[in-house]
Amino acid sequence: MDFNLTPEQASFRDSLAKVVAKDYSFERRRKIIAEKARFDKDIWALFAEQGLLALPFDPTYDGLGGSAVDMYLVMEAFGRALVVEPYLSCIVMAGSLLRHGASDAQKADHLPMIGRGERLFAVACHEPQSRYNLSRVSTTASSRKGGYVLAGQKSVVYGAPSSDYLLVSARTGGAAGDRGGVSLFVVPIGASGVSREDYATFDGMRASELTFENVSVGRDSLVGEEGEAAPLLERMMNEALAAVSAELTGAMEALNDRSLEHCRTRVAFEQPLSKFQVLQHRLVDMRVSYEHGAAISMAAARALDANHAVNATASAAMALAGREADFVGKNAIQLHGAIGITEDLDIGHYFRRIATVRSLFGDYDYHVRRYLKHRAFGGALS
Amino acid sequence: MMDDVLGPLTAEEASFQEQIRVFLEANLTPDLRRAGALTMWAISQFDMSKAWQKILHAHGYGAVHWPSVYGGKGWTARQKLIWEYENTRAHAPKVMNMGRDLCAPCIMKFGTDAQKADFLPRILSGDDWWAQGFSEPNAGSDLAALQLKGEIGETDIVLNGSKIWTTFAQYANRIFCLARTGASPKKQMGISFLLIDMDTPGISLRPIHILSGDHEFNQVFFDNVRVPRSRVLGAENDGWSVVRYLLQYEHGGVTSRAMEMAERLDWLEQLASVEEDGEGNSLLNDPDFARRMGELFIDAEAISFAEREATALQRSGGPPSQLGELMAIRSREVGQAITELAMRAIGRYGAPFQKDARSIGSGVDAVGPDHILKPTPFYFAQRAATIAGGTPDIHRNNVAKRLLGL
Repeated sequence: MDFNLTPEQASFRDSLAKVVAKDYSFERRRKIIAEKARFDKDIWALFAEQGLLALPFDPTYDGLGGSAVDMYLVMEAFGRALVVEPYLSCIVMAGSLLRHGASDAQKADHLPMIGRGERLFAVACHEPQSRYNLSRVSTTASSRKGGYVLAGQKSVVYGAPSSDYLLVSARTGGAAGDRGGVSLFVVPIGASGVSREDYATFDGMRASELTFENVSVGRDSLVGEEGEAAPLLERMMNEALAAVSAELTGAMEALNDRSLEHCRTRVAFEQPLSKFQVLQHRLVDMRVSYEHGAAISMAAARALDANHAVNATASAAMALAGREADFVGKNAIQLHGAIGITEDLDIGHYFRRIATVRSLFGDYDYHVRRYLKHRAFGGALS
Repeated sequence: MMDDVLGPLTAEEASFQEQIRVFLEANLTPDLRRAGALTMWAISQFDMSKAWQKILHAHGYGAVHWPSVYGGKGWTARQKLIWEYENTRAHAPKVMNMGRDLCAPCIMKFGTDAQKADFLPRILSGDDWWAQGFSEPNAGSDLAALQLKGEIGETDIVLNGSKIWTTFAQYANRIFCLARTGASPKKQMGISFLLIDMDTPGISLRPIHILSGDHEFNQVFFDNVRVPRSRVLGAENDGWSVVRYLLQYEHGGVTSRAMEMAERLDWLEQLASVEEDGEGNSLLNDPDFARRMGELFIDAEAISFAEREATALQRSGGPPSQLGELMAIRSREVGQAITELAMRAIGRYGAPFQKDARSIGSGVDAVGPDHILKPTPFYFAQRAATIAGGTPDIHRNNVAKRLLGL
């Protein structure tokens, strides 16, 4: 989609496209995901060198002070390339919690290291029963002399296998589901009492199930005020939704390019598929989906930058980008035929990521509901 | 939703907006506003829209989109958008626009000096009302298949055949028509673009009522109708060049789709907030209804953002987006879906046929509350959104060819 970008943003977009085209081919990705770690240190170093890891952070902490629109551009490029390194969990999500919640000392400790690619974080804020509700926290943090003791379980924590630190949500008060009483802690991944079961995910990434038993952390590990983490988590989720919508947009664009190319070259019944009107119309509808999804995703980025209607717009973006990407993904498979459902072709890998993302961040129905809640039709009603 | 359409205004824009508001406030009578609010398709009740054009002209707003040399305002794209926004918000009548918005730009581009002098001022003043004679019984989306026969003689062209789906021809005193005046192996060739007086002997009308109950269309018959050759616009047999130019205006969006949609959604929200769910609660508390409404709002947010972004891109000197036709495929669907949900919102009062009650000046009282007058006929009339100006499948063909290069 042709966005109204500043000249700097436009050239950033071009250079990102070149970086992933050159250094993140489908072949290279195939090699990365065949390794157990599914994490290419050279790629991470390259991202650091390009300034991508320091992009959202404040210049005080060696960051570049990038906007949500800048992050959109990164995620769009990563969506095209199906990048599996934990940019979303470490830079977007953990980055958001630290930027908005951490003390100056914590920021000074972590952000420059993250920006240089020398330290990785993961966000351990979902539990087996929490689904998409980040206030549904059963993990407890009991106050002890000089700190807290954590106990509980976190599930499907993306990026944990390659991370050095976790950001863990735990209850210091209230009941599971209350907005109040949720606190956030920085916990070293190797802290005594943290046990981890690592596994592969369908989208070529890695995640962990985490158990916390008698994990002692100091008072200085608290991020933000005690019991006040809910707004931080909400902000993080909105930034994640905008980013993931941008990623879906990039995936749709790639799927459309691949499908067009396939239809131009594949011959059936003595002519290229692209000569069949019914398939031409399908390709047009896929393009409509992409444009529609791109528009709402960029709208979410701009809403974040303007800090206006953030909850509603982020959910609108995830609802639509998810719905449109699902349509594009299914049709791309359909156009490619049998090879579309194999692991040999990139088409199916895009489809896996699209489906997984919707599981991880909420499906269409969930986000239409969340949009409605924040849009509040009829003012005081509902 | 309307609140978000314009985005932030500069100080100059805000004072421009204020000036428009003052004008509209002073000149829109309750009847005019009601006519605007009850517009079913592209044009408001004719006598009201005619009265409004006279007022517009008297204040120098007769054709704000025209170049200033012809009496237009020479406004920027942004000013035009604000103008349209304020008119939409205030429910100004939608003026019969085939002359002003479609024919006039063609006359400016292709017309002789005499044609410009004869026709343009009378369009501006609201003395002339033009109908558009393009479609025929056997030429709809495939416009170049038209067959209205024009025999070129010494001084006149003699027309025989008919045009159909001619909106508001019963009110028009002129009609611009395409006729086949020459033989050619390529069907786009041999067509002439004619400027015709409706009172020319041999022209007759058959009224066609659309599903809303309105006399929207006509079939226009031509029986040995003599049109002077001086009434050909552009070159004889080269009318297709004029058509291609005109279609840019018709498809290119004189109107803002985002604005139209935002206005509809605000209206829908209002309707739903006064309706009840049958259990004593607001219809907005009906989870299924609210959800459907939420989905449409989300779609509209995407469409609205895309349009704002494209406008901003052009303003900052970027290339014009090629995506208008593509995006219109979706926005037309969403626009129709809003009208469908509005009919659902009014429940059993969707049934009464009240064409006279919604006609301003008829003196006929409405059955039921006033807000039920619009949804059903609006829903029916808006089925045209995916027919007029090319069906979605025609647009898909165009996009496949021009944008995807297939």
